[in-house]
Amino acid sequence: MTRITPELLAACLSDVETGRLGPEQCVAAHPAEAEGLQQLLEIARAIPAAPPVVPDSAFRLRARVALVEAMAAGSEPRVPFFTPWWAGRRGLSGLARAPIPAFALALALVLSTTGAGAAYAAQDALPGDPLYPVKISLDEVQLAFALDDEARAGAQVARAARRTEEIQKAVEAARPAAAEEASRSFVAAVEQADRHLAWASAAGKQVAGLEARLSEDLGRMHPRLAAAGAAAETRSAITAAAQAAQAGLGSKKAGAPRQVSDQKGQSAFEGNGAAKAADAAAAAEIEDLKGEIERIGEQGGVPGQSFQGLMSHLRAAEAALGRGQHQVAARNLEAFLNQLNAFQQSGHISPADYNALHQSYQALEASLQGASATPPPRDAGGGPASGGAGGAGNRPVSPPGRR
Amino acid sequence: VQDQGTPGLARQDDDEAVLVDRAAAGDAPAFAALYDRHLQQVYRHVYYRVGHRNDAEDLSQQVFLQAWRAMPRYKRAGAPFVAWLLTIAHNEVIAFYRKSRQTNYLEVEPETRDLWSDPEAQALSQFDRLAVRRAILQLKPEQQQVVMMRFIEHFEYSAIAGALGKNEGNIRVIQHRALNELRRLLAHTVQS
Repeated sequence: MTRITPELLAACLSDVETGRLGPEQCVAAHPAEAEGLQQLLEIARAIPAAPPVVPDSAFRLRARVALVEAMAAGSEPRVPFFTPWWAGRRGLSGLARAPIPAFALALALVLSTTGAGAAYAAQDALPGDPLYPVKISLDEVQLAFALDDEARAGAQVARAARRTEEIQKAVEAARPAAAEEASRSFVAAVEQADRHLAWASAAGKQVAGLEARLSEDLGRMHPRLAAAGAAAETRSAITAAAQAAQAGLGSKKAGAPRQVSDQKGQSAFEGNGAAKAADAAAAAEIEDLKGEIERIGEQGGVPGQSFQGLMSHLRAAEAALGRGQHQVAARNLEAFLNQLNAFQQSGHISPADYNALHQSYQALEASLQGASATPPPRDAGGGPASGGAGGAGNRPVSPPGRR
Repeated sequence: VQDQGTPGLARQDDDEAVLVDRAAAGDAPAFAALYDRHLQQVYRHVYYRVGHRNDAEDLSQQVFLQAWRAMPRYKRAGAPFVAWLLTIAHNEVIAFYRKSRQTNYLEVEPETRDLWSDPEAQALSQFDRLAVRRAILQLKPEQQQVVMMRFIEHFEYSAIAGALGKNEGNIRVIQHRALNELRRLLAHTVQS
């Protein structure tokens, strides 16, 4: 049997592929190599096509947001930016002023992924609606591209404004569960806005003006919340939201001046024994959380790359805590929670695994808040958003089933 | 793939080369349009290699992140843009294998097994489709890449050569070795 050359094989494959010759004709045309050629052609024909798998819309959106994050983090965008849709809203003064070119980019890309029609329709979605995750994703993108704590505080107040609309619509539509969910998210957004203002203040920023404007924005939401009639089972959640709106932010709420830590954003607890104990407790909680993820990962409950992403956020938070950089730790934990919630929303992890991880995360958050309860109160790394991501609130939820 | 990119952009720049040039210059919406065009093909390609939807999602996402970062260095070399994306996908998959040290990618997840069935094609072949896929994944990485691009993505030799930075003769040699190795692996499978 003569050796088949790469050129002969390639020519024969091309002839068969283009239909110039059938396999038998090609083999017959090369009798000296017939046996081997026939086998190789048969193998080439047996190579299966890729199966008709299609990436689902949740993944497309998640991937798009990750892409946007990378675009914003990696280089200065070189395309013209536009004014985001919410910047012109009356009363959202903090947002309108925020330098957020990346959000414009993000919004454009999210709209491109979901389809502008879906994103537009999602603006009216309520908790529990199929399009609500799209709406929440827009919230997330907006938060992801708020460039500093002042902008993030503004973004959280904008989020609270959207929850206010949802509460009103849910009450009007007699959907108590949606109203309750939106109310909890409202309170979480206000709390998170408060934290961002505190971190900005701790970093030496003058936030009094912004704090007053955002409190005023919240104050305008209060009458709408207070007027929202609701059934008894929903009343307490809406009342809590109304009280949060009325209380406003920062010193206006607490009635006490904000305390400021050092200018570098490092821990204000250097040398503080109670804070060090709180840090140690938080580090132990992070270890527990890592162990939980590893356990779930070993059982196949967290896909490989996702596993690495969650772990990398925790490792970074752990390292930051070790350096006393609470704000950095909080940022990484917030990223962890965002990713975890994204997995939950997309069905990437099972409900049981999500709830287990979320509960461990809550324990970690409690440790960090224990630190923040020790004076000075605001720059203890305060912990990540309470339900800031995904509108899931600070409690386990029943996520959609795994695909 | 349905192009859901920015409507204005889609109307103005239907030519992919224009989109690629704009993306290489840092135009994010242009890159977004390329993402919309090619995500599905990249996803299917990666899925073929890893056999699991979740891993395919994670890796496909990484492909586009890497592509965006590398866009300023992208140079057209006679290959379609998607061929370049698939070379990135190849590298991501190899890195995934290396990092995870797992071999379960040789099997596809049970819930998607029926997606591979093609009774008509199967009737014409003596080989089981999943056995062939498994054999392909046991080839050397470079051979896998050429087999995938040639027989699954149906690129011309010139396009594969352009994407891999080789000449067409090299590609034909790699293809020849890959098919011979597949023959050996499949014969071993049949015997065992």
